[in-house]
Formats: sequence, structure tokens, C-alpha cells
Amino acid sequence: MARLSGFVDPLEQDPKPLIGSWSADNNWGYWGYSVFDSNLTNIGGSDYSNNGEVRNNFGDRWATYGSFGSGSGGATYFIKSTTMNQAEGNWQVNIPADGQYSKSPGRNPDSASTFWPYFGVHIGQEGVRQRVSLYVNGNTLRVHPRGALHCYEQIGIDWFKNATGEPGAASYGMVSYNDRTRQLVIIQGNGNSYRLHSWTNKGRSLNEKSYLTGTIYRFMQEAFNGTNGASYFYNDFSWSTTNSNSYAESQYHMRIIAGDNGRVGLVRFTPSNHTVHAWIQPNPTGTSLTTTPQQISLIGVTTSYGIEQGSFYGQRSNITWDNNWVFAYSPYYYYGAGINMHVVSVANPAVGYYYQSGNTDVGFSVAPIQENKMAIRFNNWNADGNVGNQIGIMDPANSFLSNGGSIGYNAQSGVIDTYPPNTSYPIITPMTSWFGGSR
Amino acid sequence: MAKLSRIVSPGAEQDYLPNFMTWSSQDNGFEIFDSYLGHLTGGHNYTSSELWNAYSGWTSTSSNISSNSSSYWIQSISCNTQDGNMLLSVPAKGGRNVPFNRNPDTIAGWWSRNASIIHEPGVRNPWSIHLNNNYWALTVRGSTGAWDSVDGANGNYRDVGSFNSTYGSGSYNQRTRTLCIIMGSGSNNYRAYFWTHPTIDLMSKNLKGGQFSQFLSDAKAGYNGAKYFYNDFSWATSNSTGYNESQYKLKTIMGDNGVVGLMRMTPSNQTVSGYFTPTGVSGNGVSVTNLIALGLTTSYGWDNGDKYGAQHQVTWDASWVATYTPYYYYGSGFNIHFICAKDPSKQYYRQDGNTSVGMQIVPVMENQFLMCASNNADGNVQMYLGIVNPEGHRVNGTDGGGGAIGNGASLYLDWQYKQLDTPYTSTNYPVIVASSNWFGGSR
Repeated sequence: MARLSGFVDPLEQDPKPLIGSWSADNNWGYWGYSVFDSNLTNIGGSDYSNNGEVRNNFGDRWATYGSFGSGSGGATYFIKSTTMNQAEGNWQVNIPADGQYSKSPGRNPDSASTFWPYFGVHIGQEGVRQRVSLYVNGNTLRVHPRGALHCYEQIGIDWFKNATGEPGAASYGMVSYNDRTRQLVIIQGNGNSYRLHSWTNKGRSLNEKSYLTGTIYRFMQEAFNGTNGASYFYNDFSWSTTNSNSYAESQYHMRIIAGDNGRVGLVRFTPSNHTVHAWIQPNPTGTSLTTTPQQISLIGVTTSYGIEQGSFYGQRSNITWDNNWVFAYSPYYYYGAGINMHVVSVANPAVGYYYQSGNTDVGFSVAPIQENKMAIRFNNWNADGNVGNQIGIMDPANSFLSNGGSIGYNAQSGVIDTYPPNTSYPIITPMTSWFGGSR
Repeated sequence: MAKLSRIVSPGAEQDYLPNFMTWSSQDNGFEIFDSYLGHLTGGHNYTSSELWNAYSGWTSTSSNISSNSSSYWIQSISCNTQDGNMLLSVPAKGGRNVPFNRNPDTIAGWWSRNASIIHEPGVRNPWSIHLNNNYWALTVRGSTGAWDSVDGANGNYRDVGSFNSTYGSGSYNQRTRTLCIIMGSGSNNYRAYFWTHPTIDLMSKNLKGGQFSQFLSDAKAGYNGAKYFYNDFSWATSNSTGYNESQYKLKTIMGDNGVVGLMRMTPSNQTVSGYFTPTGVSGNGVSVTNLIALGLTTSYGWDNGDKYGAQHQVTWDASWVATYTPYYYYGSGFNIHFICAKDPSKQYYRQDGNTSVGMQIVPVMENQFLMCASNNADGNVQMYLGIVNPEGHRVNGTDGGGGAIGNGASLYLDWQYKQLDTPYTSTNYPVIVASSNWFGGSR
């Protein structure tokens, strides 16, 4: 499947990503945020002194001072969990793009959990951020404005799929849309048995600037009926990895990546076992795959939990500005500490790298930066000692990386100032608006 | 009536997509978001400003509006118009201690008489057209003083007859350079006037004093390729002669295709929308086709004060006009009629018969509207939001749930709460506010 040769109008492209820096000490004596652009230029910042509705209700899970270790979603400092960031933003804070003073920079994490874990991987044209979030839960498909809880429309996947003989229809966000190929892929299943559904409709886009209600209905309907040059197919397959049939997370909450070359990337988190990146080659003319799951990388985890423990938990993902690299990550330990990350190429999902930290105190925060890189922060780094909010830069486009191998980063220090003048463990967050970022 | 072909340079001439503000008088905090709910900036109100001092009760979110006329009026759907919000002037760049209140008494005297402006896609109108009987004026968008005006009773502009009453019943379509003004003579009788000028654009940023007059007089005289005609008609709906609101404050939409959309509020009776097709030749021969009628309980319009009754807003691309009123008294619930500016015979609606909660609507993205229900944000609730997308329904013909949608039907609206954090930690009924300045919204 060739990538559409789409000229991307530079005026259509978003500014480069902003990064939020957030810190709150142990007794709320100092707390606040600042915003940096992709060149690590300071956009603005503010201390914060008032209690908004979210702060009032979610209290110290907002603070960044300490560790939560094996604690779950309501634990103090859980904002430092690896699971608190994804492409739509941060689950607990929503920092203003200009860093201006805000009385209510929070986000209700419980409400985020109702939809955000079920959003898929949305791949736009280069530099065009996803305008919608696609929600899949079983046969329910909803199109939301990016990150919103309200939707434009809700339809049934089963209206436009071949369900005859399907193994099952369970799916928690196993959906990926690639605007470059105009392909929508949804995987549903039962246990380790799956059916991949593919709808391709080059006459319609699911990432228009203003989504029009009914677009996904027509997109899938035309593909299913084979009208207007659109097409649909399904492939059945099974994929078993160690203990993968024991958890809802590993069975139904995979991150899937609809690649530019027609391959589909799979990243699975099997709690207390491992995470694994594989790829498959769908077969548009048959009902089974051309290439069954081919493993690229596999890394172990210790005792850890996924979506079967509640929708608060499990794997998340983010994507670079150019939409060429997907970062899928899970906690290494319990609900949010440490990190197992797989970086997957959108151009060819058979290419990827991994990163792991077996820390058992806190997690990592991940946010896109520059065109094709990802900023990563170990949330246990102390800002004290003249270092500030340290981050590392991951560059998956580095040609010296070996496919399936590890990817690293170097931490910088002394660049991002933080509020408390003493012991402090700030985090970084992806931002809901990139306005003011560099071009 | 053909749409003029004009190239709008994307990005250079076009405005950012709309932003909007969330406001809580409890703790005096506001946040500004772009069309994609991206958090742009924040700040708080200066509570010793002149206008806050006078109108703080109007902007209060400490309780819900219910049957109040002034207290908590910020929650009324009528508070937001194409010109912005009558009580708050949204500071696009945020800030601490910002004095940003407005005087609704002064504002409403002007804004409630402003015509709808169907501007070029993405190019927000620089001027408002104010129509108060025979006083027709141009103001800087959202201002309260004319920089140019004409006497609408001048026979050089129109065939006056006995038609001398209007309260903003007009619409200018920049895309066809056509101005429509509907003047009434009582008893449901109207004369709709149409002026078209090929070289004078009333929404040009370079418009000069005197050109408004020339626009009208050239057309009336047939000079310089300009054209003029009028059509007489009567439009009677239930009890419509009983209120000034229903007689003279017709929300009017001059369509790209020449069709004219109308929405009327008859307080305590109904809202009704329809359309007519002008003949292009002066005289009789048009009638209004009613499309949507929605009941109202006890409710008030212009008869009870300038600020009350029907108002309108326009999407970024000016493809849709939302015309609306409260359902109950001065600000609870809503009746909304969505009228397509490309073809005003295409219309949809939403209705909410709530008698305690105020609700608001503001434009977002290119062609959509965000809605907010000002329920209590306390108790870990935050804001109730939903989005309506009339252009999607029109283009794709689906109802949002998989069924078909017909013209004149109710739109899909998925209300969800716990969205967007709010200041304060106790009882609070926050609102969304239409912005006068879209700076910083996404492209």
C-alpha cells in the first residue's frame, strides 16, 4: 500500500511541540509550571496558589515530590506514573501553552480514564497533529475531538465488517488510522485469536481540520460496500506470547500502528510477564495474513498491571510531530513505576527499538519534541543541585541504531528551571496546544 | 444569485480558528482554549474595575440562572452573539488582574440590533451593521458607536412605503455582496429589500465613510452595475403580532444561493424558522416556508429589554448561523435553529427545556459549535460540554448514531461532564464565553 503523495501545506502544519514542566513539592509550599518550545526556549511560566476543582478532588496525587512505588491510581504522586501521558495530553494537568497564570490547570484523571485508554493511534500527514481521537470498545466506535470526552458520532463497527466466523469482538482501543494511506485498521478478538479489519477510502480523510459528523460512517460504509474506489478486507490470525491469554491488557489493549507500507505494528503488554513489539503483513485479497506476527523486540517486566485492573491502567502511546514514530510504553513495576517502551516506525512497522528501566519507585514522562524526537524524563531525577528539570532526547531516526535494539538518550541539565530551590522531582507533560512553538 | 469567486489567501488573510473562554466568578478565574480544547492561557479578573463593580452580579456563577433576569445572566444563551459576549471582553492573551467586564445595557442596545454577517470563510467581519428602524449604521465589530450611518427612510435608498420598523432584521452576505434588510409595518407585514454592489464590499477592511450610502444609492439607481429590488410578504405564526420581538427582530440569513433564512421568537409561545426565495423583481410574490417550530414556556424577548430574546452566532467559515433563545424566562435552557448560509432552506435544531440551568453556545473549528450546560461543577464534576456539527449532518446525511437525518431534524449532541478544570472548590456554575479576538487559536 503506497503512501499517498500528499503535499502538506506548511500553513496546515502545526508548530513544533511544546513541553510542559510541572512541579509541586511535598507541602505545596512551591508549585507551578513552565512551558518550553522544541528548542527548549522558555515560553512562559507561573507559580500557582489557588485550588481548582481538580486539585481539590485529587489532592496529592498531583504532587511530584515523592515516590508512589507500588501504589495505584489514587496514590500520592501518581502523576509521576509512566501511564499518565499519551498523545492527547497528560491525565492530570493541562498546562496553558503560554505558561500564563491559571487557576484551573488540572484535568480530572477519573474522567480521562473513561475514554482515553480506548483511543487509538492516529497518524496524520507530516506535521499535522491528530484532530480527532478514535475510541473503540468492542463494537462501539466513537469519533471525538482530540482528547475531548464528548464525541461527534457513535457508530457500530459491526455495521461495516464481516463478522461471520469471527473469533470475538473484544477490543480496547486497538484501532489505528493512517491519513497518509487513508487506511483504518481495527483489531478485535477473543483470547489470542484475532480478526483484523481494514477499511481504505482515499476519497475521505478522518483527519480534516473540521471533522464532519458522518464522515467515518461514510468512510466505512463505502469501503465495506466497495463503492467510490474504497475497499475493505479482513484477516484472521492468532498471536500467542507467554501468558498472553491471561490478561485483558495483552489480549485486547494492544497498541496497533497502521504503517505507511501496509504492515501493521503490534505492541503488547502482558502484565507481570513482558512487553513485545511485532509486525504483521495483512493480505487484502485473502482472509489470512501474508505474514504472521514477527517479533522485533521483547523485554521483561516484573509484577505489573494492565487494563484488567481498571481502565486507569495499562499501555499508552504518543507520536512524533512528523507522525513517523510511535512510542508505546507500559510500566515495569506495578501500576506506573519504571518503563518498558517500544519505538515503532510508521513508515515500516517492522522497524523499531526499545528502552527499559526497571525502577520501582516512579515512572517516566514522555512527550514529543522537535520533528521526529521524543523527550523523556526519569521522574526520580532530583532538580536540586543546580540541575533543574532534566530531560533526555530520544532520536529514533538515528541511522546507527540496530533494528530491534535498544535506544538511549543523554540527559541535559541546567536548562529548565523549576520552582522549589531544594529537593524536587518535576515531571514533563505533552501539551494540548502547541501554539507559540517554533516553526 | 451566484457566489462571487474570490480567493481568500489561507493563513495570511484568514483568522485563527475560534478560541473561547471558560469563566467562573467563584474565584474569578478564566481559561482560554483553542478550538481543539488546547489550553492557550489563563488568568483572573480584576475585581475593583469600574464595570465589574457595576455588573458583578450579572457575571456571577455562584448559583444557576433559573428565572433571574440579571443575576447570573452570564449563563444565558442570549449573552453571546456574533460580536462576542455582552458581559465579558475575553482577553485573548490572558493575564492576572485583567479588567474585562462590559456594560450589558449599553452593549445590548447596539448588538441586539446587529444584522448577521455572512463573511468570507475564515475572515471575520471587521464591521457590524446596526439596524434600528431607519437608523442604519456601521460600527467597528462589537462597538457601540457608528463610524458611518445613513437614514434608511431616504428614498434614494429604497421604496419606503409604510415599512419603517426593524430591530436588526437584516443580513449582509460578503460572498455575494448582497445586503438584505427586512422592514415591517405591523400586523405581520414586511418588505424585504435587497441591494447588491459589484465593487463596494461593506466588509472590506478598507471601507470608507460614505461608501455605505453609495452602496445603497447606486443599487437603487442601478448605477455602476449595482442592483436593487424588494419583495413584500406577510408572515404570521402563532401570536406573532403580540410581541415586538416576534414582529421586528427576525433573525435573517442572506444565503449564498439567494434564499433568505428567517428565525423568529414569539416569547412564551414558540420559536420558528423558515425561508423564502426572493423573486429578483420588486413586488409581491414570495411566501415564507416554515420548517421548524419549537415550543417555549414562559420566556421573554426584546419587549422586556434590549438584551433579551433571540441572538445569533456564525461559524468561522460562515457556513452556518446558530439562531437561538432561552427556553425559560431570560436564560434557562434553549431553542436553537441552525441555518445554513450556503442554502438557508437547510436547517436543523436542538432544544433543551431546562428551567434552571443556563446553557451557552460558541463557534469552534471551521464549521461547528461547542455547547456548555452550566451545571454545578462542584463534587468533581467540572464542565458539561458537547459539540454540534450541522455541516457534517448536511454533507453526510447521517444523524450521528448511524441513522439518516432529514432536513429540519434535531442534531446529535453528546453531553459529557468532567471536562476542563474549573477554579474554586465548592458550588459553582461555570460558563463558556464567545471571544471577540481569536488570536492564538489553532490554524
